[in-house]
Amino acid sequence: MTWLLAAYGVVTLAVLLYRIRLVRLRRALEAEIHARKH
Amino acid sequence: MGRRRMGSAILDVTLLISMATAMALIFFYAPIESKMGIVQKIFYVHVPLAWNAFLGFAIVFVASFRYLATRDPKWDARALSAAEVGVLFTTLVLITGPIWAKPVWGIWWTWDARLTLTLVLWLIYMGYLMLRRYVESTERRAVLAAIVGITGFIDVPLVYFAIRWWRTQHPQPVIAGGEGAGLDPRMATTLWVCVVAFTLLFFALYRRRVALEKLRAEADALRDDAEAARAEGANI
Repeated sequence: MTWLLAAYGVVTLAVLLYRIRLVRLRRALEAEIHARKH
Repeated sequence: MGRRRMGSAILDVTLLISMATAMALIFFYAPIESKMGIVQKIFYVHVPLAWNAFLGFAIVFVASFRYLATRDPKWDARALSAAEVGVLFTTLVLITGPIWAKPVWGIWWTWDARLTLTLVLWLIYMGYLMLRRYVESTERRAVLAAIVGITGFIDVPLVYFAIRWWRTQHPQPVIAGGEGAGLDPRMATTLWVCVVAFTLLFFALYRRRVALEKLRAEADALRDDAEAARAEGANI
């Protein structure tokens, strides 16, 4: 069970971290675009 | 709500439902394999991740061709986005594989054809992503990346057929594996639901990555405009 949870845990964590990275990059770009337009 | 946002919301809800269904099937419906025990259930994430990584690299292949034919940056953005999600999924294949191998084979890794070619696949597309960081000129970067994206795809069929062409430590195919191959119907149902769930996950991440590239292009254009205006001001 430990091996199974380790595998599922790694997959969940990696996807979450990648998703957070995408959100952070999107927010940074939106802020830059907003600042340059106004 | 715009059509794009509506599409994303529908995709997210479908993804959540399919992931929840997949997890329920894995833990409460799929039988425990007789030889390997519960650790065999890693199969339900390992295989869909691998297939969707192949899907990602197939998108890189097609989008790179389209970029070279049209020089339209949207194809370059699609290729980059698919490569990034494909590398993420391949990384997870290379992590979940050894976690499964250790309790079953007694070793984390062996240099058999399937495992080695998968590692080579990961290195090729990591190289693709690194190349994009080191070339300054936008067009030159896109052309070089497209060439790597097209040629690198050669490794995908090699990875897929490795277990059919060579004797490997990696298990023989259970889907489309010919005579003697096959899965318990409950395992097969669970696997296909997982494949659908991970394909939706792939597209949810891919769509967001493509949207990010659009924003980046917009920010780059605004930055260029500001620099041009500054240079013009300095010349007066």
